[in-house]
Amino acid sequence: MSDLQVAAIAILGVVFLIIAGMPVAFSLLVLSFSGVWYIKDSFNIASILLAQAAGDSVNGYVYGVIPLFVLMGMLVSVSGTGKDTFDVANRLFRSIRGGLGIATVVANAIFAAVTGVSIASAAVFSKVAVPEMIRLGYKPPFAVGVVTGSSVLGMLIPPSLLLILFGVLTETSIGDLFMGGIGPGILLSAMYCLGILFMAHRFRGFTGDTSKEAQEAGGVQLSIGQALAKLTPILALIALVLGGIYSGWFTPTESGAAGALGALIITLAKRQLTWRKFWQVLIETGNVTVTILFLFIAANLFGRMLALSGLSNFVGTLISESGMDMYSVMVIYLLIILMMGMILDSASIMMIIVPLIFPIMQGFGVDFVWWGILTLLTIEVGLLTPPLGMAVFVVQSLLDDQSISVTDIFIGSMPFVLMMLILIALLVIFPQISLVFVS
Amino acid sequence: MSGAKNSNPERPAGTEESRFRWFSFGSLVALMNGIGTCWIFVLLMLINSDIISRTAFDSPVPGVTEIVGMSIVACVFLQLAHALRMGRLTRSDIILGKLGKNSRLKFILEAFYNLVGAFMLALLLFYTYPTFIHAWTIGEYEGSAGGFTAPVWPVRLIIVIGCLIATIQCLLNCWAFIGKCKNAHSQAAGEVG
Repeated sequence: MSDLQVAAIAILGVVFLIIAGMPVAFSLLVLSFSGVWYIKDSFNIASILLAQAAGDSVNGYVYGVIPLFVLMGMLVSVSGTGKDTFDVANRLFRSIRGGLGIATVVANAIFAAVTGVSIASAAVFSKVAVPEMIRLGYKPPFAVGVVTGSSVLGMLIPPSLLLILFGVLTETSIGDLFMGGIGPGILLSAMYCLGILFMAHRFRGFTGDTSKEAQEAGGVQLSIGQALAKLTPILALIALVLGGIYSGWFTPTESGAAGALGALIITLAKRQLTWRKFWQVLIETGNVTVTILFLFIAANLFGRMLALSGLSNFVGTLISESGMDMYSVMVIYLLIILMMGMILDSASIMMIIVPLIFPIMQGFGVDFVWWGILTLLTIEVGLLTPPLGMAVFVVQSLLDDQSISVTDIFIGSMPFVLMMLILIALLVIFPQISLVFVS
Repeated sequence: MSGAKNSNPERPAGTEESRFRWFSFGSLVALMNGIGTCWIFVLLMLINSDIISRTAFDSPVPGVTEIVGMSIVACVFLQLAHALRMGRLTRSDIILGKLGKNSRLKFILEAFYNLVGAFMLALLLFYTYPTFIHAWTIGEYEGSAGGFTAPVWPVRLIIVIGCLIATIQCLLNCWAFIGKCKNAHSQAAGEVG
């Protein structure tokens, strides 16, 4: 067997083991270890490489950014800031048909600017927004679809855990990637709002009768002062985190630490934190971090094995000899990600495919911020599509009303998936969307 | 070590351990997890004190970059066993989810996966140990000589200990699944195909 064949078998083997249910990190470790063993014909070298990957691949200042932003997101989630933001947005859009849906999207977009994980957004808004929408006559699948669809904004709008991973994998500036997420994030929010408005007027069979909403003009009564008081903490936190990175005052790691401290202060000030809750938040942060970083170590070893085999170079030459242009390669790449989204979660997809395709994209000289945002958006589509729509399952498990089925949520999310696909197409054609805020 | 009884991967630490023990494997895993957890919080405070001290007094706290960089590896291996115990590693349940709750095949697969994990972690343990000895004997450090330096051996030691505990956890998980497999009645045979 040639080295290339070994690498190809290893990739197929990883896919097989993952589908068979082996933890992704173990599948990557065992097959990259076997691959190196075969290629170098040395058990010893393979083991040393394994130990090196464990010791080196998450050793660095930049990795501190991961637990810190996770912690910040968790703290913000328990602080009640999400509900406050929703209340204000609700008041703002309440006289519009479909206004509650729009309010959910807008609140999600703002909330996304202080949290880096889609799951956090989904958790907050399935508790806060869904009951309210159903009360005002939205059909449950649509109401839940709005929440699931807009939870994607949590990852797209900075800070974003997936963009951090992408930055670390490709040595792209995390600050630039964060700024690259702003344009598409705002555009997607706007598309969602217009889409909801359109559906509320034209597809009432799908959305439910939203006319009651416009008449009742119910919800919370808020004076401007109260609204400002509710928004100030979250806006201050956004200014601290994103402003700090944008101005170059903070490194991403520092902005994560400052943001987490800020979130802690807000949560304390709102008297939402008991010792018990705080400890749970910290433990959960640890669990999420370990899961991601252990996977990162495994993916790193897999990358080293592929590099040893020369597969990436081989595919690179193959592509350049076939005369395929960057766009065809990009489209194929995005389609592969969509397929991977059916069996894998976001972080795993990113860690497996990005290092593999990295040299090829480098060869084409593509803008890495643009490439990163495209990758992220396409991965996020997988969160909303069957069979393994992570966001959908999370939302379903959090709903108080368990009569809403997973299928209902998938159906309700479809319009939002469609809008995401439109945005991906727009972004491929107009890279500027992702580059407007990048200095 | 208290054996497989409190290592049931689906009903993790705490639920079955109502009996008071001075020491159990579960409490060791929880302790290491707790240390890692506190460590993250310490890092948070450290970085913030650096920001404040740098801004207000124009004197950065030395070594923050080095400490943060080295700490993350340590945190991962301090908390790995706990994540394994809770069954938190990312995986696809596209097949496993389809098998019944009491399916024998599922338990066999789970036991096998944990065995593979134990093997990889044990390898990692045996090949990281020499790097710990090396770092200890030559006094390897990170940072620049003359400036801030931090010894490397504590992190290596944590990787070694973390791997050891994680390996044991995987073996315990494996053992627990084998036990479940024995208990699962042959009704599962129908679901397997």
